[in-house]
Amino acid sequence: MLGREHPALLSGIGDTRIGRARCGDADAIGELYADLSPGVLGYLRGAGACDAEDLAGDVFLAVIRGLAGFEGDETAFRRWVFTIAHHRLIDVLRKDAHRTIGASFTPGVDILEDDTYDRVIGRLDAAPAVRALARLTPDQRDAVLLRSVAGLSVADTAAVLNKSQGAVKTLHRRALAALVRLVDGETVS
Amino acid sequence: MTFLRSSDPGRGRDAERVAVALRRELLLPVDDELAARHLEAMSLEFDWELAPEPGDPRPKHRAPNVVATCVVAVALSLTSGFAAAGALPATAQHWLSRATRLVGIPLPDAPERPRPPLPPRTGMPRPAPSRTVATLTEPVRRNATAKMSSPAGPGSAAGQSLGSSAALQVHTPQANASWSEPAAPSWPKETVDAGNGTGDNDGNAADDSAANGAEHGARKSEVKGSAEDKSNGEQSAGESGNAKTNPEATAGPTSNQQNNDKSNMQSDGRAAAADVGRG
Repeated sequence: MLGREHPALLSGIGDTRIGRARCGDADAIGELYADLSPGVLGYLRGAGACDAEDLAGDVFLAVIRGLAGFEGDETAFRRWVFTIAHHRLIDVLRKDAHRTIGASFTPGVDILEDDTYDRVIGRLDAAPAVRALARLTPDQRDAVLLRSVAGLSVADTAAVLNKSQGAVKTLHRRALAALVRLVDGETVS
Repeated sequence: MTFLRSSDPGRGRDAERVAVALRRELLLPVDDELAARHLEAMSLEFDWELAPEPGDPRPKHRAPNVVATCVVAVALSLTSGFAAAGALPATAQHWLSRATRLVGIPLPDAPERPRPPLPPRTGMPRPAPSRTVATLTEPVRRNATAKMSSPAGPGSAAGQSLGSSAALQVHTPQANASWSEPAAPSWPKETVDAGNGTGDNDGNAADDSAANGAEHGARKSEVKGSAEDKSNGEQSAGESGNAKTNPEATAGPTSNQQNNDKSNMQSDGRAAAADVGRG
């Protein structure tokens, strides 16, 4: 699974690494970026940010600015980074008059650039799911992206979205059910 | 996962399939070029944010803020405490009381201090500046002449007992001139100076008015003249003293002769000026 291909998203951020990054260690900062940037970018892309790469850069700049004042462990750091990303996303989406699935990401167009057959098949399979994200409610989409894509726990997702854990569980379950319905309906149609 | 605990196993599998598809599509490795760009921006941002020293998790610029805040808080609390107790200095307490009364905060006003009594006015009132020197020089000249002639009359011992005025006059060549030639009518400047020397002890003739110095000198000369020249009358003391003035008896003959020549030249010029003023 791709989620296991990026295990750093789920673990590997130690307190010592955060401490070194706080002291200006470039290697530690690079490791933190490598661990967290795929999840942040995936969350921003799936949420429909028009320029997810630039927005991710803004998120990590904000992380650097607030790194000196951060106190906490690995879990807290991940929660904090995704909280920043969530707030930045809300700001961007408020500025945009319309919410569209990311302009920088066009499912079904980029598939011709990959040569491997599995990749093409995977994209063909994933494209309806990604398109279906745009038809979910914002809370449902955030819950799915943070839980299933970024790999946050229920508690961390609840903290990022400022909701209760029960609400996050409900949102996540209903979002997946809606996605299944939407993908099945798109496939049937 | 949560969606796997759905009641419908078929829907659970579908949900997992959708989640895997999302991860496959969205969770991509970051491009190297993009990562390098982001890391460069982060490095610049870190340098800009004044990276703290290792081992110091807090940025250093917070310390002065905290210190300044503490100082301001302590100063405010002390000031307000002293103001509430009425222990500030009188002026500060008065103005602070007035200012806080405007906003409805009563503070004790400064206590009324009893004014120290004014010192009794001593000395003669200063004359009006319109009075001219020429009108004052005549009596001053007489009194000062009497005072200066007194040491020459009875002897040098009496001259030493004159005090500051006589000592002041001895240092100046003009004074020596007056001792040797008392009959010269050129006295207005010297008499004013002598009066100032005895009256103010500052030796500055230009700052003080001529009348003030003249009156002081006249009064002192009256007292001393009466004490030492008892045999002479008040009016005749100067004249008799001047008449008795003997250069051989008072000072050395050679040095006094030279000084007398100079002082005569100066006193002649001043006498001419005084005559012009009187005219």
